[in-house]
Formats: sequence, structure tokens, C-alpha cells
Amino acid sequence: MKFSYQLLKKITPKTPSKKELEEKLNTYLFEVEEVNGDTFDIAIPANRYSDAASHWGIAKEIAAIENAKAKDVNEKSSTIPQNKGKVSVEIKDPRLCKRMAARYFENVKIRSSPKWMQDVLKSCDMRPINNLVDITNYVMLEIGQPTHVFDFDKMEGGKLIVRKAKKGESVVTLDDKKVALDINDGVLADEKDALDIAGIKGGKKAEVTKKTRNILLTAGNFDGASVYRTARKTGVVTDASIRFSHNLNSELVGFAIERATTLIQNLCGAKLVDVKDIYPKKPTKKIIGFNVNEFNAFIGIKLSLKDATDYLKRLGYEIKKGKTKDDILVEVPLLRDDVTLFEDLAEDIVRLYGYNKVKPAPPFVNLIPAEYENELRLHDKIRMVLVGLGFSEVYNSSFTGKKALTSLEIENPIAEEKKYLRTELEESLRTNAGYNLKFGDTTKVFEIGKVFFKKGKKHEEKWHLGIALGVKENDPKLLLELKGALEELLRKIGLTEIFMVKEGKKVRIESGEDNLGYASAEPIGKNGYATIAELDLEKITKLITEENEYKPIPKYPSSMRDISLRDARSTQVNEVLSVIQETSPKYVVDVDLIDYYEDERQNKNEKSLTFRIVFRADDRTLESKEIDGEVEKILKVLKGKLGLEVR
Amino acid sequence: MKEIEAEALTEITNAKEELALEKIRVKYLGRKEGIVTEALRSLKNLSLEEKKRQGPQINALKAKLEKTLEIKKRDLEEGKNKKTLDIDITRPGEKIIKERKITTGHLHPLTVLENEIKDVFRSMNFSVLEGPEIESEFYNFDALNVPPDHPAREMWDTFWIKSENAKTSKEKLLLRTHTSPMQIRYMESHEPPLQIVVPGRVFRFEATDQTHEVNFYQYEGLMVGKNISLANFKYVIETFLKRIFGKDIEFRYRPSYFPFVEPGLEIAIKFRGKWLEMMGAGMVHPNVFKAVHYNPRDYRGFAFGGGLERLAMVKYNIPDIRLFYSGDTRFTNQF
Repeated sequence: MKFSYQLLKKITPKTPSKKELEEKLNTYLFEVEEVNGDTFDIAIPANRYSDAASHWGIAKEIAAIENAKAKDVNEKSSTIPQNKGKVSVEIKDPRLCKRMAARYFENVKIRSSPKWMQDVLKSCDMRPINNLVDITNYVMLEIGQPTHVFDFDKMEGGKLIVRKAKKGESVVTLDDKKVALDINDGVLADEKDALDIAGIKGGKKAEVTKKTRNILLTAGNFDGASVYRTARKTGVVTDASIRFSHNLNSELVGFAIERATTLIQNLCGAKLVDVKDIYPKKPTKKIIGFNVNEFNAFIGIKLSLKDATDYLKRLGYEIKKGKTKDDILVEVPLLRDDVTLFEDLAEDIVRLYGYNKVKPAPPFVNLIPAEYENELRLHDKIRMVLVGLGFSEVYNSSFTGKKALTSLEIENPIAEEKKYLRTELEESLRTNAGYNLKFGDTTKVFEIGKVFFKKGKKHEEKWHLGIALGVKENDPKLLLELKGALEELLRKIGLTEIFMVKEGKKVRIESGEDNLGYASAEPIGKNGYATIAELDLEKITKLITEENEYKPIPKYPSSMRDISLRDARSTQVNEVLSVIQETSPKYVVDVDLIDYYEDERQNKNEKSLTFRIVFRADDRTLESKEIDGEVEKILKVLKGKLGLEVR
Repeated sequence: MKEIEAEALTEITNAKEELALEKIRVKYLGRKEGIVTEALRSLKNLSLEEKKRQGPQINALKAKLEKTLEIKKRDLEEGKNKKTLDIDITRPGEKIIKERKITTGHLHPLTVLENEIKDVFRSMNFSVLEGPEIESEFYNFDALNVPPDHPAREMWDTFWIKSENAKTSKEKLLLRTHTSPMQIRYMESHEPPLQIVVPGRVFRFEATDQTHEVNFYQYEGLMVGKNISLANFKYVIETFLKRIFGKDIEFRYRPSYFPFVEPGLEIAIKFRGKWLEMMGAGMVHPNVFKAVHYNPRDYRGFAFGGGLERLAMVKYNIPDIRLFYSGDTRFTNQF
């Protein structure tokens, strides 16, 4: 929000130099976003619009920081006529409007406003128009309360009504836009039409022009949530609507209308004829108990009650005696809507004292062991193993333009290609692989990330692991290479066996009964090929709960035998492995495929497979003869069951 | 012409690889000496009648060959692919890759930094946990003392998730705009004293540029106990930042506003001669304690939250936030 340094200094004469002011506001109050000439751009927090979104409010804060005084801008106009019967005001919906004040003036002279006023407006990025419009803007800047002036002679019935809009009603605003309203929107109306969208923008019907002679000055207190909803719905967002949206204090109405009255009398030569102020319920005084020991424990400093009291007094708090010598009762300044609790008082004291002066102190707490997050540790472990295997980690966007059957859709997407939440990591990893192949022959990347699904009426989010291996030249063994990495990974994290099973265009990855995910092998554009595996990490986390158990180191030596087989029936390797294991369950401890040769040119589909079988007994050293016997047995079964011949 | 067509189609059918296919294309359709191209070119020497007769024929042949070549090319590509999938996948995975260079991979810089953060906080007995990325309006806003229909919500531009029957704020879904909902979730199921740090992905409806991404990472801290003070907060956070940026950094605190803390403040550090905003923080607001059914008079606590990318950009001198999500290994492999 923009402020004029000159006006701040006018209200609080002890305001320091611009440079010093900027630094002090930053340290003790709010962030100064920019200083440019006379203009201070200050970030007003959402809870300080009642008291601090005005020159008066900021000047009071400057006075508190400087331990100085701010001038009172709230001068009462000399004589106030009451209830002359010229105007009447009615609030039809008290939830919409807590207070509505109106003042009727005769014989206004419309001309330009004085230079001092124009300078302030310009510093605050507002364009001077004429004395009447400028006064309303100036009062808003100075006091923080928007006001509005109607051409009284254009109002029908001489009555100002605050009500909800009627069905189908609309207001043509000052900038000639027709704004359609519904029954939840508030308006200011005469007896016939809506004149103004309450708290947001004035309308054409009773607009002030150069010919205007008699006016109705109005100031209201409108419900923040209602103004906020209407402004957002209609898209008409104004300085006034932003202020009202933050819920202004109803006392501001009085300050603003008094200030505007003085200015209108002085600058427009107008005569105040009648006033009305409908104000059914004034805000109650807030009194908060404050104990200095509690404060010192909360902040971690040692302030005397007197010092704490001084800081509060500087900010306009009234102090009364409390129950003990360490207690006081604190009455909150009228406009400080943000202060309701002890903690709010503590904040005001410690920020004026200075956060930078609070000395760091280690906490004293009972030692309770930190929790051990299995899932998190597993993810860390997976990352380390994959990095060891040569894969690099990537982070991809959670959004995608690709809709799957179970995709969750964003209600307000920022772009078409970011309309859905990803249901897989594969899509992005394929892009990553293709991209990186521009810079090398191989690319190995992985991602651990959340994927999202619709699940009936509910939703689900899951951790997935995606691993991509991309190469420029396709290699039929690519999938086996990925499988090799997966086996190594899963073994490291405690899953001994995985199986791959073809399913349509993909390969299913299983462990025991569980389906862990899928792998695919596909060309990626013109750049090359990629095989990508995507695994459900939640399933894996669940599977890895078993403990590792020590197995005794074998006492007796093992022996190896290699067998080479010719296969013309496209037997799968796992079939051979199971036959070998089942045929000699007592002595076979391990079987490995050590050579695999496929020659397309000779006989179609003829393969040659070499297995290395490791034999061992637990209770003795196996003799060569025994092993030969086992091998014979195995070869016989392989021939009988699978038709495999020894080469 | 028929002969040429028959010959060309046979050659295409028999082609075994893309290179051969390309040779066939040059032979018939090549711009310089392709047989069909030549035939088209020689049309201009013919009589008008012959032109009318032969022209369409040759053009049709050209189109047919182009299409057949295209289909064959696709077949070959798919064939290669098919071969990959046709492999006996029950064979053991390849453990020794002969021709590829053996190198280790790299962690993403945000992981590297997150690990550092986790280490520092674990060393101070904080538990590390994560939370859901899809949140309800209740956890993201209401329970954190951010009122509905209030402009304070504009501090967090939100992505909402389409859902038909969401009536209450516990049902209305969004992508969490900060990691703070985990304060609520954790306190709902735990009693103080507690010390947690929550790293995780968050989302904001903001145009992407050098310093803004629609998804990014935060880390959230919360410590609650009987006698926790603002001075304790300063101790913990300064210890943390010194471990990350070195002992010589300076600190600056200024008042700030977040609805879920009171007092609220912001922390900046002076690093390599520059003041840099690091995070927002404050003492847990009594309304937040009320939302999790603690008695606000019984407990005090502090909370803080910062951006992980911001930390990484400062520490590693990274100029553009978009690099983190580029998937470019030339970036990742520097860490």
C-alpha cells in the first residue's frame, strides 16, 4: 500500500529521515517494499487493515517507535445539525452493515482540489479529479475508511437504504460497466434503484458531476466476507473493496465522516444541513490481563513490568492495576481489531523491544527419542542404491495434460498441459530420457514421487519409484539390464526375489503374490529407446518388514558343474531353473545362467543355454561321483520334461 | 510403370533395416536420380495427351511408394521394439554391462539439501516426517486460523481439485499450499512435548518464472512443550542455518504476519555479503492449539517454514528455479 512521506511527517512531526524510517519500519513494524520519491510502499498485513492501513495509523506506529506523539487528525466539525428530516437512512440487513452514516450538504462548488491534497493523492498513485472526489480519496488514505458521495438531487425519495440486491438487479458503475448482482450482494439504494455496490463501487444513477449542487456524503461499515465474495464474483475489485474485505472497525466511519465534513465545508464551500448515523451496536472495550513473568517466559527475556507497560502505552494501550505486582489490566486501543489475546500484547511489546535483541537460548526439554520413519528411510536407501548403480535423480512436475481413467482434475488449472495430476512417473521419465540422450549415448535416471488417483468418491496418493534406462541404439538386452538393476536394488533393500511376467505391451514386476509395478520398452521419438520400470513403493515398504536372519556359513566345500543345453522349443529360463532345483533339492544350492546364445540365421529359435549348478551337502564333502549322479538325474528330467538336449 | 511398381514393392517388403529402406527411397524417389522422380521430370517432353495419360499414373505411384515406405519404416521400428519385449524376461537381469562406462549417479540437489536439513534436525532430536500433498481446505486453512472468505487466504494462491460432492471444508480438496497442515495432523495424534520437521512438495497457483514454480518444496518445523520460548526458537533456527551456511553468517529478524503464529516474524541471513530472506516463523497461535484440542494455556511452541529451492539457490548459486524440474542430468550431475 502506498503512503506519502510528507503526510506521515505532517501527522507525526518527529518522523525520521526517509532512509532511517525505512529501516525502522522494517525492524519494528511492517516490511517496506519500496521507497520512491515521496512514496513509501508498505506491506500491510491482513489483520491490520482497521488500524494501520492509513497514514494516521502508520504515523501512530512511527510515533510509538520514536517514543513521540502523533497529531490527532480527528477534529470535530464545529456545529452539527441533527435530524432535520432532510435525509433518512435504513439498514435492512444488519448482517451486511453494522453502521451507516450519511450527511446532507447544500451548495457544493465543484472545482479542483488544493495542491497539498493533490500531492498526497499523486504519491499514493491516485489521479486528482475534483475537490469532492479527491476529498473522499484523501480521507480514505488518511483515515483508512472509504466514503462515497451521491448527487442528492438524483436520488429518488430522499432515503438511503442498505439492502441485499433484488433478483436480476444490476448497477451501472461509474466506469459505465453494467454489473449483474444476485440476492447475496449488498447495495446502497434509493427508494427505487440500487445506486452503488455496497463497499465496492459507486453507480451512474446518482453520480456527482460538475453540475451537482446538493450531496449526500456516506460512510458505512460493510461485512468483510460479503464484500469479498461479491468483489471476487463480479470481478470488480477496488481500493474500497480490498479494505472492506479485511473487516474494518465500525468506529472508522465516525472518524472519516467528521474529517470529510470539515474538508467539504472548507474546500467546497458547502453547508451541512442534516446528519444521520445508524449505529445499533458499538464495539465493546477489550481488556486483557497481562502478567510480566508469563511474558518473560514466553519470549525468553527479562523485562520489568514498567518497561513492558511503557511499550504498551506508546502504542496507545490504557493500563490499569492488576491482581498482583506483576499483573496489569490492559485496555486495547479502539481500532486494534487484531489484538484479543495475551500473545497479541506480547507481540506488540517484543517487536518494539526488538526481535534482534532477544538472546538465543537452548530449550530445556525431556528427552523423548525422535521417531523413526520407515518409509522415509527406505526412500533414502533406494536413492543411495540407485545412485550406486549409476542412476541420477530427477524431480518432475506433479501436473500433466494427459488424462487417465482415474485422473484427478484441477478445478482452476494454470495451463491445459497442467490440467491433471499425474498418475504415473513414466510419462515424464520418458521425456527425461529422450532429452538427456541429446547429450550422451546412455541415460539412467530415476524419480521418487507422488502419484494421484481418483478412488470411487475418494482420492488416493501414493509414492512411486520410476527408473528409466535410455540408449541411442536399441539393444534387446536393455530390459534385462534394467531387470539387473532392479534385482540389485530390491536385494539391497531386503526383497530377495522378483519375477517379470509379460502382460500385453508391458512386463509385470512381481514379488511373491504382489504386483509391484510394470516395465516397458519403447522407442522415444527419434532419439532412441528407453525401458522404464515403475514400482509402487507402498507395497514394497509393506513387504520389507521381515527381519534378516543369519544363516550359518557352510562348513563343507561346494562343487560346480556347467551344463550346456540346446533348446528348440523356446523354453523359458525360469522353467529350467525350477526343474534343476526340484530334481535335486538336497544338494543344489544355486543355479545360474552363465551363457545364452541365440542364432537366428541357422535354425529358427534355436537357443543354447549354459547353466552353472552349485552342489553342496550340509554334513559332508560331496564326492565327485555323487555329483555326477545328480547331474545325470537332472539332465534326464530336463530332456523328459522340457525336451532339452545336451550340446 | 507396372514393372517399376512391382520391383519397388518387393524391395520394400524384403528390406530388413532402416538403412536399406532409405536406400530404396533414394533409388525411386530421390530428388536427383530417383526413377520415379526422373519419370515425372520427363513428362514435360511428352505430348499433351501423353502427359494427361501418364501424369496421374506416375503421381499415384509416387504416393503409393511414399506410403508403403512409411508403413514399412514404422513396422521396422516396432519390430525392433517387439524384439526387446520378446526377449525371455525370466532370464536373470544383466549385472555386467560390457560396453557402458561404469559411473555412479547423482542425487538431485534438493535431495542433497533435504538430507542435510534432516541430519541437522535429527541431531537436535527432531522427528522427520512427511504428509499428504492433497489436503483438505480444513487442514490447509481453517485449522491454521486462516478464516474463510478473508483476503488473508490470498497469501496462498491455491490449486483446487475438482470434486462433485464436497460440502464441508474437510471434504473440499486442494493441493497443499504449504507444509503447515502437518502441524495440525501431527498434533491431533500426539501429545507434547514434540519436535518435528516436515519436508515436502507444495503447490501455488503462480506463473512460472526464474523464482516461481507451480510445485516446489518447503520444510516445516514445529516444537511444542511446556516452556518453549521465542529465545529457544532463535537458538534452534540459528543452529540450523549455521550448519547449512557456515558459522560466519549474521541474522536479522523482523515482524511479520502469518495467521497461525503470534508473534510472527521473518528471518534473513547475511551470506556472502548479502541479506537474504530465509523463512517465516513465530510462536504457535493459541487458536491452532485449540484446533487440535490442546489447552493453549498449557503449552507453548514455535513453528517455522522455509523454501527448499530458495535455500539451494542461495547455497549453490543456482540462478533459475526451473532447473530443478528440467530433468537435465547435466544439472543434477553437478551435485
